[in-house]
Amino acid sequence: MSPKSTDHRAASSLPFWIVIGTIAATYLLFIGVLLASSATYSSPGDWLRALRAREIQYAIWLSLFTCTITAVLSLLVAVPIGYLVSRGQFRGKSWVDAALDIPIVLPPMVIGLCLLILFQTTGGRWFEEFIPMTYTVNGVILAQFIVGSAFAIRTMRSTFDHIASRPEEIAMTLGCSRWQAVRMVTLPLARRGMFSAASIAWARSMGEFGPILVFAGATRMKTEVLPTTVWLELSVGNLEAAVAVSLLMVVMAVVVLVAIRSIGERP
Amino acid sequence: MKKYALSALALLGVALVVGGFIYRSAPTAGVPELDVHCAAGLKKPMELIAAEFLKDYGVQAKINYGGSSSLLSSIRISKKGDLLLAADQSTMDDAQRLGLVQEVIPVVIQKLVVAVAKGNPKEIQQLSDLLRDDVRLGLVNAESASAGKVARRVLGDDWERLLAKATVTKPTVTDLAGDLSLGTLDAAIIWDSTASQFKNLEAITIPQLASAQEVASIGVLTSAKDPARALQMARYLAAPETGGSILTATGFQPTGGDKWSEGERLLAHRRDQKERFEEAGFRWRGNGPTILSKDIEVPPWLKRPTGQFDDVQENRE
Repeated sequence: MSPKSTDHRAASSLPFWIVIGTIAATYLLFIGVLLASSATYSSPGDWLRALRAREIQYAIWLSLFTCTITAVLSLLVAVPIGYLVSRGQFRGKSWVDAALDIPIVLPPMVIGLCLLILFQTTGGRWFEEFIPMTYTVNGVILAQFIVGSAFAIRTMRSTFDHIASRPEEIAMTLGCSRWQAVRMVTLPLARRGMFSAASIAWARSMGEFGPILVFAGATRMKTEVLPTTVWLELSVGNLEAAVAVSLLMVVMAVVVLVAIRSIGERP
Repeated sequence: MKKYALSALALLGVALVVGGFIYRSAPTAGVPELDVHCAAGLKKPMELIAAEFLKDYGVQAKINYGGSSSLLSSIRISKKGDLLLAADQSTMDDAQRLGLVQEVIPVVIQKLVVAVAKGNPKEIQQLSDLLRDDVRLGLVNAESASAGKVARRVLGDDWERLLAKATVTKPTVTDLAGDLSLGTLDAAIIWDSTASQFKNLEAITIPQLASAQEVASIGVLTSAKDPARALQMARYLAAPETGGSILTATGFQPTGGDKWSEGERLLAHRRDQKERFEEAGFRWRGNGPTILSKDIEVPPWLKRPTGQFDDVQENRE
């Protein structure tokens, strides 16, 4: 945590680190207390019961599966779009930029409703002949993707903003095409950003719930993801199970995010 | 570009300030308040009844809507609020068991129906039609929604068959009614009162569901700051002349509470109620019939309340 600097100003920066360290510690303490106080509402027995329930096992599996697919899909879309908004110069760019934030601004339920309506149109019905969406697992992924990809695009955009365009240009003067320059110079530099974009999309999708409920439903053993389980348990007044499943989600999310980040940080 | 952004920000600022003043000067400031937790399905009548109650008694009801059991969960944790209007008996039973309510008054009777699009395009007449391949069926989660619990109880094995065939299960009957309106479903088992809230839906009664009824009731919470005032509103909600007529007009079937005896002032007030109703865009169907008939199984806690608040009405004036 301490600065590596060895010059004579090192001593005078100590108060600085104490202040920001205190702010960080208070913030983490708050989150810790938040989780700990929730934990008092459940016992190890509730945890075991939650883990043993067939529906919850399915929800855990479905959550992990859909979030991973969503993270990959989001990244596939976020890299080109992030690159375009970061490097491209064109008329109406600020509008495109704002439009990319629409999924972040829209209330979750509205996204679900829009999806439901979209697939009721003639085009939507035609599409569903090939890939069924409404009330299916595909629908879960689509609902997660809409919000997850918006966050991934934000992240990729700022990643490309922080990578100088000069090495890419030099590669092109040395005979690379634009494709080759991006693939061999810029993308390797954007590696960390790509991992963090994927993990943000994954984490967002893990908590996603509103649009899924509306568009995919809460069908047990079919479209029930972990946040739906929490919601269903809470709405039956089963606080203990709701809290157990919530904390289970926290543990899973932390483990996966740490794993993704550590792979991303590896040189 | 920067200039536009600045003027937009300035406009937003002005709007916030003006909005703040309007909010502060709202006529509700300073009047006595009641915190009401209300089942989301009863939103429409509750809003109208709360407005009437404010006019009649100058008490502002602040209403928090949600699913009955989730409202109960939040009351369990927060221990706050004055009244709970729950859409089903089991929630109110739980609330009593947990010692969260002190007095309960029945308000509305709901029946299960099969809701379909107006005109019944898929010609659904009986339970077996719901199992047809061309019918996209929606059900509510039997774990969380009272309609699901009741349907599972009365349908038995048929419920399991329907569940296996259902296209989707959703958490509330309102969600299903919305999907029926959008056309993503062809049929759903929901409350008659919910179906009547949606203009393009039709309710079909089938014999297997005839015995499926549920009583929504209002309870005074133990956390009530002013239990006498809370009880007054609960009785107002249930009385045929006051809440009952609004419930009937909004498509609900009131259980018929005690007669509201508040003297001449209120009777005069009732006379112009019909006009106000029609102004608000509702069809006036008169004061609802008082039904609490023998064929409905009345749980013990629904019987006339007895206890510490019996003398409240007399003491008040």
